[in-house]
Amino acid sequence: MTTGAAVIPSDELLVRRYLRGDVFAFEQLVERYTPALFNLAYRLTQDRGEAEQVVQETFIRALGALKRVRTDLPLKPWLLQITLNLCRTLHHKQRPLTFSDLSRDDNGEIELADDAPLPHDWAEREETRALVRRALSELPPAYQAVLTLRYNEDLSYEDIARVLALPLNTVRTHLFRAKAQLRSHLVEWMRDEPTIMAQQRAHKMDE
Amino acid sequence: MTCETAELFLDTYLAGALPLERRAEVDAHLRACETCRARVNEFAALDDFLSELPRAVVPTQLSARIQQQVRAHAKQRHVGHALSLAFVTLCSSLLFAWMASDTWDALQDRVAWEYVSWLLSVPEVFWRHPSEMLAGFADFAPLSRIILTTASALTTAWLLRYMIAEFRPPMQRLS
Repeated sequence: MTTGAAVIPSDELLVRRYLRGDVFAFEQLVERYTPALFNLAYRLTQDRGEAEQVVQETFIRALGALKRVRTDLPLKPWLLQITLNLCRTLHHKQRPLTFSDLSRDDNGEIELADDAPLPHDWAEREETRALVRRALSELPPAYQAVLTLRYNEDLSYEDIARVLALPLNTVRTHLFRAKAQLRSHLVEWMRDEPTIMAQQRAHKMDE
Repeated sequence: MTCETAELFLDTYLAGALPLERRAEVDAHLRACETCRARVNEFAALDDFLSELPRAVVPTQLSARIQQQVRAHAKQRHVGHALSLAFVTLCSSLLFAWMASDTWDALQDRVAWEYVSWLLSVPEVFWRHPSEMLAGFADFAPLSRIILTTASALTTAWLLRYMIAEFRPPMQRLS
């Protein structure tokens, strides 16, 4: 029995087709990976225009370098790595993106996660999803990138380590600390929530 | 296992990707440490929220714009490549023409052909003293010139084959 579903060509096949002179095969890869690359670039640069530039440059670089890479290795981590390196270069002067000593804040002191407990029903609350989203956008860009690679792109620890050019244990530490910091934000906001709600109510009454 | 070591493995523990032995160590720590136990539960819920997070919204037409750029870039590279190939092929053909004309002139000499036909009539002499025989031949057409003529002919043919492949129209989109 045959199904009508179209067979999606693998990355490896598309790369091989491109290397034989089929530019359309590369265009399919552009279509496939633009969302992932844009997401990472946006998390790192926090600027849509810059992120767009980085994604364009990523594909142009990949175009020239594809002949020299091994086609049997996964393409996605390699593309993400180019994007990440371009973001690093772009921000080199203005705002360096450091992945190696993320645990230290500007004063060189190790950040301590807020150990206060979250409200028992935090996961069931309606506003939690929006708060998690906001907390993510307030993390240092490098932490956002680590979480993006793990949760949006579903990369293995090994692949994340390869993309970030960091040892595996450092990746594990970063993931833990990113989540600990995210949790701290949630603790802080949920603790302040009664005050915020009261302020909002007062604001409404004033109107 | 200390809390700090356990923290290092919590993420992998939650993903269920920890080797059995290490998993048992983390389990033992979790049974003993209430703080880490609470942390694991919170992180598990946080994992669910993070997995659901949408990607940043891609600007409209970004893929199409990049595809256009890629096409232009590929065309530019293609033209550059084809032009340099054409230049090298031309140089190689000129070298071949120059070498071949001199070699041809030398071989026009009647004495040269008489020497060749004598060589062919006594092949055993050739096999006995190959270097002397070749040196005799080189008096009419220097051996280096013959080698260069052959090499430049082969190079030109090889480059021509590449040129034909390069100028062939690109493959059509597969439906």
